[in-house]
Amino acid sequence: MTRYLFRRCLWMLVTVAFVSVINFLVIFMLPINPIDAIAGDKATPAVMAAIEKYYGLDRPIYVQYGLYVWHALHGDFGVSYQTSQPVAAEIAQRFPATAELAAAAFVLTLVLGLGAGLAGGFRPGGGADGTLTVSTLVFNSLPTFWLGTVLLYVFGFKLQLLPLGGYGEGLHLRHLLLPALTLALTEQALYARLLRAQMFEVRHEDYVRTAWAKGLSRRVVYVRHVVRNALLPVVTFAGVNVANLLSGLILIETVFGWPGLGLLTYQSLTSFDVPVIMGTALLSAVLVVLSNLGVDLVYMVLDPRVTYQ
Amino acid sequence: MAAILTAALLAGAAGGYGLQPRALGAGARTAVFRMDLQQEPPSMDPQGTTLPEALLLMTSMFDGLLTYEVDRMVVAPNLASSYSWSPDGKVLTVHLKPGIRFSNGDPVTSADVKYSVVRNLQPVTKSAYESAYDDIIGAKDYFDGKVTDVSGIETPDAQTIVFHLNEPEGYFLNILALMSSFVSDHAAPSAGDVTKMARNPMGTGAFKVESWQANVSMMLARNPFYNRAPRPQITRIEITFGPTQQTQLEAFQRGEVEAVWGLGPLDPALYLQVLNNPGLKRNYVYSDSPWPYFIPLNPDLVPAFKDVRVCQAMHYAVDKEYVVRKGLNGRGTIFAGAIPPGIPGYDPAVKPYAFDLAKAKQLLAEAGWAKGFDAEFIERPGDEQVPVIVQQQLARVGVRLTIKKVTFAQWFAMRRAHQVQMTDAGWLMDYPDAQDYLYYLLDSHSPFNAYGYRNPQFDALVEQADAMTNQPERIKLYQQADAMAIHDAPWIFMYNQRTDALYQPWVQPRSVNVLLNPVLGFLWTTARVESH
Repeated sequence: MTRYLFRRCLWMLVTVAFVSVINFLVIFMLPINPIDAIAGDKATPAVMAAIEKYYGLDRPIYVQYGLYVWHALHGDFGVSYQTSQPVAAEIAQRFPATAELAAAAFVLTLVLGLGAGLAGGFRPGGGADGTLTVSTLVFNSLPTFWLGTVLLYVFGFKLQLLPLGGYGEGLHLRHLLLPALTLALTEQALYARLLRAQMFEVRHEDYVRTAWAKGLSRRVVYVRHVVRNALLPVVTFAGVNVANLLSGLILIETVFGWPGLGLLTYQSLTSFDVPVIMGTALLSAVLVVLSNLGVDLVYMVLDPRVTYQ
Repeated sequence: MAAILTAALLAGAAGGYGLQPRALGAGARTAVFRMDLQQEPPSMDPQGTTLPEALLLMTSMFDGLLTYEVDRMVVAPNLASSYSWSPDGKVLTVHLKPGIRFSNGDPVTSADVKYSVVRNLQPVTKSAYESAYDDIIGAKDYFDGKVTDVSGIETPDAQTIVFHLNEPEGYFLNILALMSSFVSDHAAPSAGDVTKMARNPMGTGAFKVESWQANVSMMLARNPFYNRAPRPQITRIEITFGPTQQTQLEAFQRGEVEAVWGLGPLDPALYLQVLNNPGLKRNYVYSDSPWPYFIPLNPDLVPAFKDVRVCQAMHYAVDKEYVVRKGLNGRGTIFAGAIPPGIPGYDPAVKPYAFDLAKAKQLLAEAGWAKGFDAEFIERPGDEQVPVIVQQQLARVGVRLTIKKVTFAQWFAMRRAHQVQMTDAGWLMDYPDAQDYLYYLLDSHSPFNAYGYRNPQFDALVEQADAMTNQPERIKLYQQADAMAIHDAPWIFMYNQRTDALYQPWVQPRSVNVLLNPVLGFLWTTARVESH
């Protein structure tokens, strides 16, 4: 197990390093000059040359990459071209808002999605199942930015029950509700469909028939055999989902003016703030590999047959 | 504080409005100016940014030596009490008003002025306006790192600053009114550190930062040391960062913000909503900004444009009124040349080229291009309507435009590499002086003339005018140069774009001249937010 973890961590490092190289290359292959974004429309060639030199952008790409890695290993992810603040500080400042939204959205998603999935999975073809299938299809098809805008319009503007976006102050549950709900409504559909489909499949497995044959109660058969096994792919999905949520929700955060990593990513992309783009992409990579590791470990708990060596 | 909270809670119980965290209860709202900005300005360093969001806020916190008279484009003293030129026009002596303090209480001295101006010449500041200070003696050497001091800026005593120029410069006073000449406290703890200055502005303006929650909100309170007239009427400015323009419009309708600014023209979709809503339309205010839009005709890349008659034909072929009506929903003003209305030198008697298809065809035929020609039009990102209309209009005289879509960065790069045949270019005024348009856009020595116009006579006139200090004579030369450009037609001179905004009925005065670069500051000292 320890060896396994060690090997996994090593591969995680390789993956992250690989992502950083790809990011660096992609950014440099784009027909965009970051100096334009830094200097603005009115800078003269002399100013642009000075800025290029200041940021070391006149050096060969491998030197730039080498320096980036060297500094990153020392905890220095560069300085934002736009705000002149350290990238690590920018990310640290935005992460709590995203984590908060991600946590709220994730809990809501699980409650709604697993609830709907279970309801449908228990009695496929029933009335509840039909309604839920249609509603999940609808919510799954709605773009989040559209749903978010509509919810803002209805609950914020027309009914005036909730604030018109923003982060608010203090315990800002009212600000959190709409963006979290928007995400949950669209995401839950995937969980519901996945769980329902898995339950449908698992119900016909041999071990479930055996469980029935043993004379186990319906509750025990479902809880211990059907749902537990049907949850395995759901866990995989949830792991990736959490990583995505934590690395920032560009559309939702932009629609609701939520000052998290998604908004930071969006702003850094539109202003071509390379150090911030690199930083947020690297963070996403780290979160994805960590969540994958987490998923694998949770598998061991859910399915005793799974062992790692 | 408890009283305010109680009031807010009571108001919340009474109606939806008070539930909002930024509402302070009916009475307390008077004199507070609330607004939303979609994006937090990345920096509050006057020398380090040129973004309109930053400008909007910094004009409440900073002043320069000079500014402009309200609603007029005439330079006026601000932190300066007086200034005088040497007879040869090369030395400018400025005296500071006595008793002015920064919002931390530090007195303003000539050292602060020199420090602030010199910051533009330090590459680490990334000032976009470095070249504006090039004519100060020693500035270029300092920028290049050859010397450690700018010898052309002297501070003989705490109240006096002397600028020595290489050549006379008729527009130099405007440079001292630019945002990049705003004065920061050189003794503040953040001074000299670009990272800290971006977040810790320290100026002499009527307001100062009371609190700043990154990416969430910023609260500005009155600067207790502000002692000049007019004294500000508003007590606080509250800015919320994040809401999209659509959400800002909804907040406006709910009475939660005092104004919605487009920071330029309001978003077209938003403007349509305003037009179709009588309640909003009543609160719509605008002014014509001296921000000209034009379509360059590059003779280096399209042979047909080497012939003046072809360029003139392009003017006759485009129905600019139709473009403004259909492409901009009427939000534009057509004028003849490169000096826009409002700028000294603009002459309303000079009429723009009329829309005359027959004349256009005739000129093309005379030039030997009766069958037309092909050209590539690089579309400026975000401007989808105007290029298509122009494409349709020019097709009627046989000119076949291929519209190419690019990103902003590509657009910049192509322009810099002089690879643009035609595009919809614009110019945001730096200062209200004809030099800012004629030299920068059309003089062949300007780094911003990217579209191949070269006329030695034009250059000579403009450069002669640039170096003159007798303003009426100067303006005459610029008008002659402008007439020359109108004749040569190196661009299709299109229109001036509008600056517009929504102001609540309880905000006075309802002027939007506020986005006219340095004049913006006047809003913060004259605006009143009445009880509502």
